[in-house]
Amino acid sequence: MNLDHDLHDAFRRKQAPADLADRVLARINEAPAPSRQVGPASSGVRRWLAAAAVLAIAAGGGQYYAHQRQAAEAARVQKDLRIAMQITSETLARVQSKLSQPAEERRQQGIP
Amino acid sequence: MKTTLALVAFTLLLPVAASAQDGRVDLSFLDRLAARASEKQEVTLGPDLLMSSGAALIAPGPKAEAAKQILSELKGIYVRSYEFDDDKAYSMDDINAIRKQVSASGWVKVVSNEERDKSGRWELQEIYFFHSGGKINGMLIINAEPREMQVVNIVGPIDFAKVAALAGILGIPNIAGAVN
Repeated sequence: MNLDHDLHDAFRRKQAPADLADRVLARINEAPAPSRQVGPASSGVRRWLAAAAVLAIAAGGGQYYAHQRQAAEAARVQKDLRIAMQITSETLARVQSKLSQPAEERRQQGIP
Repeated sequence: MKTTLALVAFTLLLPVAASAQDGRVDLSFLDRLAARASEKQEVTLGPDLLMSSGAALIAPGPKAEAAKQILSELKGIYVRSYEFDDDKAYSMDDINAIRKQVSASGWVKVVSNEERDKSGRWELQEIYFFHSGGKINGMLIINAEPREMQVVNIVGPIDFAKVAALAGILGIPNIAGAVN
């Protein structure tokens, strides 16, 4: 055995099989798409982040709803209070008017 | 049996009696008049609403703090105002149902005007104060005319000097002038 001979034999140019390109393409098409593997730690963090986001949105929405409800309630009470004061004012004014109007004058006006 | 019935009656009447003792008048029986009214305005502001929203109701201004204080001390504002298409939509019995409640101790009639003409048409105006602890702690105003009725019940301490000074805020009238 001669080393030169062995090397020459090993590096001898060989013609590729004619169907090599077709076989490679076929193998590529058969192989499943490479999936991105996520480590267990990364997956847990993602889940917590998602849960935190949902909680934050829920809490924000709840707070906004409560604020809106409180504002609507305050507006309703304010309106009611104005009506109450207006009716009280008008009623007192009417009482005052009746008491200050002479009976004779009212009789002339046909007021009982 | 009689004892049981008496106890039941006493228990049922207790809330009415208790409410009359703190300046509150039960206006629930006016609900049936509301059903006949052509126009009605009803306001019920209990202590919870006045406590929670009272301070927010007053716009900033020179009299705001005094107004907030008065509102925060009130325990209730109850208003019923009805207009009717019929002269006989209600009777003196309905008025007397209110009057009966303010005949309890503590209530004092301070204004009274009652008139009746030859055709039987009547009208009345009355103002009552509820006194307790040496102070006015409630007020009832009744205005009843053939086709309309207003009843106002304000529960809680009422200092007319303070209220009169707030004329212009929230439509507060010159009450001191009206009742003098």
